[in-house]
Amino acid sequence: MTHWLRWIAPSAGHALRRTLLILVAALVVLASTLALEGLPTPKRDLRRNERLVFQADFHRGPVAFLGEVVLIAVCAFVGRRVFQIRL
Amino acid sequence: MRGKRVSFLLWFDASLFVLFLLTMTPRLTGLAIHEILGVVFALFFLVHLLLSWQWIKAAARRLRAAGAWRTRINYSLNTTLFALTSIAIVAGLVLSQVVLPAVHLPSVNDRAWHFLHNRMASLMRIGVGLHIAMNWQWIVAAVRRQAASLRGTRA
Repeated sequence: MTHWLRWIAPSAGHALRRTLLILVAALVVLASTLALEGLPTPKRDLRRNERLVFQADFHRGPVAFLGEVVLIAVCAFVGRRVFQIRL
Repeated sequence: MRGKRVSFLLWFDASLFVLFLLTMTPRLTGLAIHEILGVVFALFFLVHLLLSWQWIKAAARRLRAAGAWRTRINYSLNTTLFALTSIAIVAGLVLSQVVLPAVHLPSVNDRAWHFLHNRMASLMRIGVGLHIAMNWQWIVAAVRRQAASLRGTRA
């Protein structure tokens, strides 16, 4: 095992056990979501061509990307001010 | 060895962040690439959690310690972010028009799950921003260390 793989987990067994734990936690979250939303059903079909709606657009796309960067930067900036308070 | 680990973590987390930004802009990539990036993001997210395992264990032990408010807030934030990400990924797979059909699995374009996917993704943006804010000191220290190491290599 190369050293960077050891940073992920000390051994393959550890990696597997931890991955399983993460998946179990995700399943718990998913079970709660299913209880609230119900199973996905074609009865609530959106009737919309998603491929057409989300066609790559090289004019609006970069603007949307920049918007994402700005939004996260603002959240990080505000968060930093809040978390700077000695808790 | 520790320096190399920090450098690896920095580059890995930077890649995860860029991947996150690209996944969050399907209007830039188109639906097919958005879905493929979503699957890659899920794998990177899993590795990010595995790399943070020691912190997860140590912080869980510190939760009941007196005055560990920062740890409690950070842990709650990370747990919320984990839940949001898990739901967004699974809802994305449920709606998938490219990835699931490619492996001959049925997908459903359910309105409610569509709403859920979009809502979780919106909240994830805020969560990621706050996650960066919470770890700002580590990021700055790691970038400085990396810059110093690069200068040392050049000199």
